[in-house]
Amino acid sequence: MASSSTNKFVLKSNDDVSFEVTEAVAREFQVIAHIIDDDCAKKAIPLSNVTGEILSKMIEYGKKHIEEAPVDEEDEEGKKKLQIWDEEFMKQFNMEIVFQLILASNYLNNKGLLDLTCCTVADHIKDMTPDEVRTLFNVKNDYTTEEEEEIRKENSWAFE
Amino acid sequence: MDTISDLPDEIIIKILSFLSIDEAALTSILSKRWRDLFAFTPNLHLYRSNRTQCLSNFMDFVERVLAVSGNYAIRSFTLNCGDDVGSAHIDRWVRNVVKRGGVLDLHLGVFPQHDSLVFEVFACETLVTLTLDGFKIPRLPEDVSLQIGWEFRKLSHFLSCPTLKRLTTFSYYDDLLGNISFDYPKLVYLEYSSHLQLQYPLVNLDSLVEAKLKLSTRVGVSYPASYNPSNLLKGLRNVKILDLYSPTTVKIFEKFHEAVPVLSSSRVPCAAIMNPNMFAQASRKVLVYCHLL
Repeated sequence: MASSSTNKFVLKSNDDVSFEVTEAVAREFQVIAHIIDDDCAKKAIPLSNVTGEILSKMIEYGKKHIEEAPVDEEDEEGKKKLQIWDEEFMKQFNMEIVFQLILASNYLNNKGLLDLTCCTVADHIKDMTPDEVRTLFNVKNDYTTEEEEEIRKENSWAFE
Repeated sequence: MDTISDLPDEIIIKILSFLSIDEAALTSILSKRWRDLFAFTPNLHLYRSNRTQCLSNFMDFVERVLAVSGNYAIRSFTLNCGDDVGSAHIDRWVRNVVKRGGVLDLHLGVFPQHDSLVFEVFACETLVTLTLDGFKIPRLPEDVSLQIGWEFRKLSHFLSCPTLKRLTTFSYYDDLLGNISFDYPKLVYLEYSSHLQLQYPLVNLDSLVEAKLKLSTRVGVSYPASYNPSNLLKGLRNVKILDLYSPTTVKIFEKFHEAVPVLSSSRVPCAAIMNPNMFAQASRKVLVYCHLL
């Protein structure tokens, strides 16, 4: 059996875009790792919930995290470098893409990317008024004025 | 069009867990769906350091967060508040968090002081980090024969916590001197600030790497001739970093220097890190002890 550095797999998006990746990169996504372990990965691996656009970004992320993985737990410099890359990586996306990345990294089970994308959304929510958050994320306010007053009251410590 | 509303609840909960609890609580007002999601956080950090904040608002908020989130596992819990919250509430909140199972970190601080920590904490098998500030440490009364069995049963929870890795305790409020044991086979880091107790009958700190000790003697109390902290000192035999925080600690190490163990690691030299400005003279002697041995 070929070693994981030379073994290649083909990931196929739901809009029929194929990506050839090394086994190490493929294994960055736990769902795919399981498929490989179950020996069901002879041909292309179809990913029914991910578009080619999103998949290419996820592979870019996975590759970077394989190539630039910190040497060990104490490799602060390596961690910092990767963290800076992560921040830059996320800057290119609008919120719609971020949400698609969240769903896809949840589906393919990549904890690092899921944390990164969720944290990006949290950073947007921080320091915004509820109205601004509603506008940015397209959330419809279905409270009546009285209900809204009630919510403010029950969490008044946070609203102080 | 993908919006935040297309995300499942558990992902919204994950997003909110990157915010502080008060920031996250502001999202309760977005829409009905968001009303309670913020309460399901694996990291619940509650601070009320400022007594000008309305006490009842704080207490209502904590009660509500704990009630709404039910049995949702809290991995990391911080409670920092004044004792005006009342020990009954504090104990109940801590019990609530521990009972859910799976808690890894507990950081509890009550100012200026709180009664004994609820024993459930010491029986908790998942706990990895415990930080205490202002809590009393349970101890055995030396002269109460009838209550010893009962006290010992309670104490046995405290004595043994097989998974605990880091323990920080500050307790200056013990008004009784007695016996304290440390049976923490997995403990790596111990920060122990307390009045010197009479005896340390059982000390199992075999994994300890770093110890910071700040021992003091009770003012106006004469220690009986039988007091002997040797076991505590012996228990430090595997430490690699030993930090003696106070002049009294250094004096105790001097007085009982025969008990100071051969520090067993040869790969990493024992470094006794001192505050040289405070007690340079005394600390040098202990350094000598550490290195000679």
